[in-house]
Amino acid sequence: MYIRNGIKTNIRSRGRTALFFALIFMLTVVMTAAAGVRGYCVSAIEKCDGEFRSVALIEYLGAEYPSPDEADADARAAFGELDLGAVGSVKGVKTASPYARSVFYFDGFIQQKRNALYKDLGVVVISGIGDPHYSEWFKTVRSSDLKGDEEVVSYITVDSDWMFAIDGEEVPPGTELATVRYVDYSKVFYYSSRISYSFYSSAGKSEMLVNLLPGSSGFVPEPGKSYVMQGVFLGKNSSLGPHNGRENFEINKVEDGAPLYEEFDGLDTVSQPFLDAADKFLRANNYVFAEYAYDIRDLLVFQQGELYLNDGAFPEPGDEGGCVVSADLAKQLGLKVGDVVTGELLSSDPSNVYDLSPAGEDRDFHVRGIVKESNDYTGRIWAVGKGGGAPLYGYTLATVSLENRYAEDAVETLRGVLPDNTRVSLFDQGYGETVKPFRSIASAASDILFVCAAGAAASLTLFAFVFIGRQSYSVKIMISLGTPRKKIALWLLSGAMMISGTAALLGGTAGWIALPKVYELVASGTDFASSARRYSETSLGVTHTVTAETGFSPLPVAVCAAAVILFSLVLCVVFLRYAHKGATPKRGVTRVRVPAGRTSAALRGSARFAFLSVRRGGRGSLVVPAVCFALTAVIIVLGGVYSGWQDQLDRAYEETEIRGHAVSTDGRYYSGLLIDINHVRTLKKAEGVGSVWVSYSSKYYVPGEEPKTGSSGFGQERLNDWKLSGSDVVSLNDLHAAKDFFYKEPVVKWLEGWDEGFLAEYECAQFKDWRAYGKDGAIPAVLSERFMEEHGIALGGEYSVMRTEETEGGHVFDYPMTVRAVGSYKQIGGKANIYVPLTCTVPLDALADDYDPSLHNKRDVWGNVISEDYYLYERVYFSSCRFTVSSADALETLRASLADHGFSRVGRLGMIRTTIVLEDGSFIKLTETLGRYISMGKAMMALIAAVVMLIGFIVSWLMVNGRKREFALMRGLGAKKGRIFFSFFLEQAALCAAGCAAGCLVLSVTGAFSLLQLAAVGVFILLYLAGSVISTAIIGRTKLMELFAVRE
Amino acid sequence: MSAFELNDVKYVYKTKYRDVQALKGVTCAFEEGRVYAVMGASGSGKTTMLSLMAGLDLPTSGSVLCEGVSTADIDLEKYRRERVAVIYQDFRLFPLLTVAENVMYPMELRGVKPRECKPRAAELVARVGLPETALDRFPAMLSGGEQQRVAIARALGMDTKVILADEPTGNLDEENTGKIFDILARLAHEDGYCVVIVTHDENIGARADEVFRIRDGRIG
Repeated sequence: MYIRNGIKTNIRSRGRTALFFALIFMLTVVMTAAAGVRGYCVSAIEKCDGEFRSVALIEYLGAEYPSPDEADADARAAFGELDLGAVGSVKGVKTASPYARSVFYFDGFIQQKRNALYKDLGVVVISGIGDPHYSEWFKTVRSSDLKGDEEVVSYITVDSDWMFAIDGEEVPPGTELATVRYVDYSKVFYYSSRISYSFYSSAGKSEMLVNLLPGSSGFVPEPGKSYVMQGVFLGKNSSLGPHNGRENFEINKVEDGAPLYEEFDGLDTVSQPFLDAADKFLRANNYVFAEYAYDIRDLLVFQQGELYLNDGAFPEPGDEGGCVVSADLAKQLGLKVGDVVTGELLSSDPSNVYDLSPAGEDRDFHVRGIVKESNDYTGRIWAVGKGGGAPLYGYTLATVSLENRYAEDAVETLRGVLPDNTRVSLFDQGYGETVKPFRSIASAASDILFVCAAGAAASLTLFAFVFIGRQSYSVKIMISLGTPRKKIALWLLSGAMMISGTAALLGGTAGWIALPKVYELVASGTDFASSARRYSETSLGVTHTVTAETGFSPLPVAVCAAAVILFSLVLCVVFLRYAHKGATPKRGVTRVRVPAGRTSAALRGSARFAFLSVRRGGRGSLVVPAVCFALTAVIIVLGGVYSGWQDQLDRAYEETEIRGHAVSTDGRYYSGLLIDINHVRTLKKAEGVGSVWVSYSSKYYVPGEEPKTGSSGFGQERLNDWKLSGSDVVSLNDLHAAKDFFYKEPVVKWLEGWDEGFLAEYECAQFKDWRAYGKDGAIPAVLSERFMEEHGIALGGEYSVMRTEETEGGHVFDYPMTVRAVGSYKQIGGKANIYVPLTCTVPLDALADDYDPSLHNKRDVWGNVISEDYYLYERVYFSSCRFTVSSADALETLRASLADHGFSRVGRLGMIRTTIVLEDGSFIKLTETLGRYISMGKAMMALIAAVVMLIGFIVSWLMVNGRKREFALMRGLGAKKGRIFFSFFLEQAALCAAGCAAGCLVLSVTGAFSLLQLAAVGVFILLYLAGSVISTAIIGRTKLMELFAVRE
Repeated sequence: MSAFELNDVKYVYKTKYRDVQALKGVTCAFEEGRVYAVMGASGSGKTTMLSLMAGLDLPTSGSVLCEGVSTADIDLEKYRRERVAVIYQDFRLFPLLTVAENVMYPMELRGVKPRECKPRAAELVARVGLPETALDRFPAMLSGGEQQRVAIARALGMDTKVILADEPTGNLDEENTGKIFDILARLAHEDGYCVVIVTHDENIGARADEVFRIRDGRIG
């Protein structure tokens, strides 16, 4: 009976029942959808967490295009400074594996990749040595300068189209020239001979004819004798030997312990040093590199998918000795998964990784997997462990394994804790890009869920108040009839729960039905959003694709529906007590509330009534200001926070200078590249690009500082290697284009009257026209402070160096260059680079905005270039290219423009094979975070607006509704509707304004208000008054007879 | 011409379930200087009849004429403000206004400044037999009889010739009932008011100049 009556009572109150049913139903549907979407996004992110692998590479900023074999003292110093404990303590870092590469020798393994120090060395027996061939060379001279005994090979006459010079002097057209052959009979060039036996040669060169070059050994063979000797195989096409189709072998000291040569008298008589040298070369040249890590799947080669397993599995992290091996190693040694193989550890000389010697230690490797065949990775092992036997070579200092979700933050933090001149690159397999839309949607869904939950809480509170709390009259009747308390509760709760329960269950069901479609929308939405990070540094490396999970979980539906039902039940029970309290008088005491004050004659009309009501309202008059005060405080505080976020975002857009640069296709290298000048011009035209800075690097050395390498071919090669490993002469149009200033702003002391502008403006004539060579005088340059100190150069002083360039064919040539120090910079790292104007490489107008390619790209009818300056304007390749984004607002436009022009992204080749990366990581992080906060703030503002309106309405409604009798009386006494309306409206406005003013006043101590905060408070007042107006209007429309029938 | 005249007045309350006809054709007239008692059982329609005379609504059919003018043809707000004064069983005083302010309220509605109507309020309060000290008191501080006197003072302050009283003594004891009736009777007989009292108190009926008995929505 009680349940039936409870339900029937509410069914008969159709209006309010329908209103609250609809409200709870809609809120449950939206909550269910939001919770479902949030859950879907969270599970998608979790799936990505499981399937992606993020690592960071810590590298030293060393050579232009760093070799992993380089022995760089500065890199080692940085490695020594690297605090892996600090790295490991950064949030998001799982493990940090320091550089660990060891070299091993495995008996029976022949290294196919012959790039070791001993790759071209040989310990061989030379027999059948023939007559000597002497050195000869050719020279072109004027016919008129010929001497009588010279052997002329050919004659030519200079054509008018030619430009020809002898000894730096131009030869006029019509001059007859002669080519003369000279022979030096005092110097043997080579002997024709034969290798009859090889103790060691890397490619098994034996039983073959060779040109034997004595070099500077002083070797003079005795006829008919054979010799065992050490030396170098120079190749068939070496410029140091004859080109007669045979291999060239130069006698040279390649192993200190053994003599250059000795007479050969049978295999048993060969001296031990030769045999030792051959044995050392054999072991060292068939080296196997073992790369160690705690979890070898984090090594870039596997993380980036360059290599993958063909057989077996990766060893588990911490499986000491567990390894995977290269396919060639497995093949040559007959290794299978599960085998154990022992290698002999070799020690590398600190100056050369390939200068190897036995370390006297063997190590066992447990083969867990075998990788696919790859010519780039021969003779390799990747093992779990710590390595040893070698110092740092190359520039990779450590590999850091990261938790995907904290990877970006961890990298930012790491940048702050690492030594100078090191960089951290994140390779997250596209995790950030993939999860970004899921994060955004999850965040929005959370906001919606929060707003709806708050709305539901408010609605359910109101619902419980209306359906239970205000039922004191019914409760009073039931009590008077002796109804047990439990039965009263059953009556009221059954009616209320019938409404909220049915609405919540139906809402949940509707959400259940809608969710799969919503998931599909989310999945398609994330595909669309994933293009947002094009060209960003946050998306380096390969991109792993994960199919979004579209599975349906009923959990959110159940949770939301259950939460609504449970919460409404709790509130109903709370209000049940209230209803009982209202229906039960206090025993023995009745308290009568009497207003304070005396008869007043102040004011007139509506204002008078409002004034008197406010003044005498007692607690009732305090409710509204208190509520308004609290809400104003909330609005101002939240508005302040929101304004702060918005200001930060605006400032970030206004003040952040975003740069970009050209990189290698894997995104790791940013200088030492070959960047076509035409691509630079295209870049300059891309929308959103500000300044473009480029540089061109060549080497230099100080004459007299070169090492003594001897005049042999081997010595020349070593000298050239030394020249090409020196510091750079960098011609650039801005110091920011230089690698040294990639991460640090340049700090330069300038000679009076000079500034950085000269790099882009100063015109060097000699590089535009070779005939002007040497006529420029000293070129203004920025030198390193350390270099100037070491060489006694002061600002304004001049200094001569030799500039060295290597041609595409590998030929190295030098030419002198005099520079004038107009600025000095603090050197970072080991290279004392010299910075000179860009016009040392390209003419001033080559990068002008109005550059006309047709002027320098003239071709004949066959398509051959006939423009003299074609190579100065069109065939220029820069070593580095950086640029600024005109403003952060233009970032998206720039991304689109770069894509439209076809520039490559890291890992994705475009039409233009110049890969561009935008240095927007920090900016993206900041703006995304602020964006999330702001969108949350917007949702909060919407929520507050809704809550304010609701509260305003409820409070106004309660305040006005509770005084219906006064209202009726006023109308009964004939008061005009306007007067009645204003009597209540002014009262509410005064109370609301007082509360808001107090809130503003109290919070004004925290600082000045923003316009937004004041506007928000204004909106609140308006919303509150709107509630007041609506409730007054509703009562005003009620028939007077009904009003008079209202009980207090 | 009668002060009030009801001609075949009918009134219907519409509910969700059915229509209730409260008045089924009431015809009667009221003159100035007399006290009328409208008597009947609960639900007989007497309060509805008074409400229509008070201008709270218009009859469903028939007419209510005040000094010969139908309430359907005039501004009801103005009518309530200037032509009739109503006294309710539950007094209906503004709880946040003092006795004086309650009495002053209808005067203020007619545009009189508060300062000017204050002495008149004091005079009216004295006239209904309340002490001067009651002027600054709030309704909650007064007894039922005192509150009803204030309600009568407020009605007097409206300066109309008609006073409609809906069970003015319903909540009062015998002594107070007598006192209130005396005041109303004096107003009719000495000041020429037309006083209409809705009541089911036979004593009042016996003392009234004329009694209308209403049964099932009709004057019987």
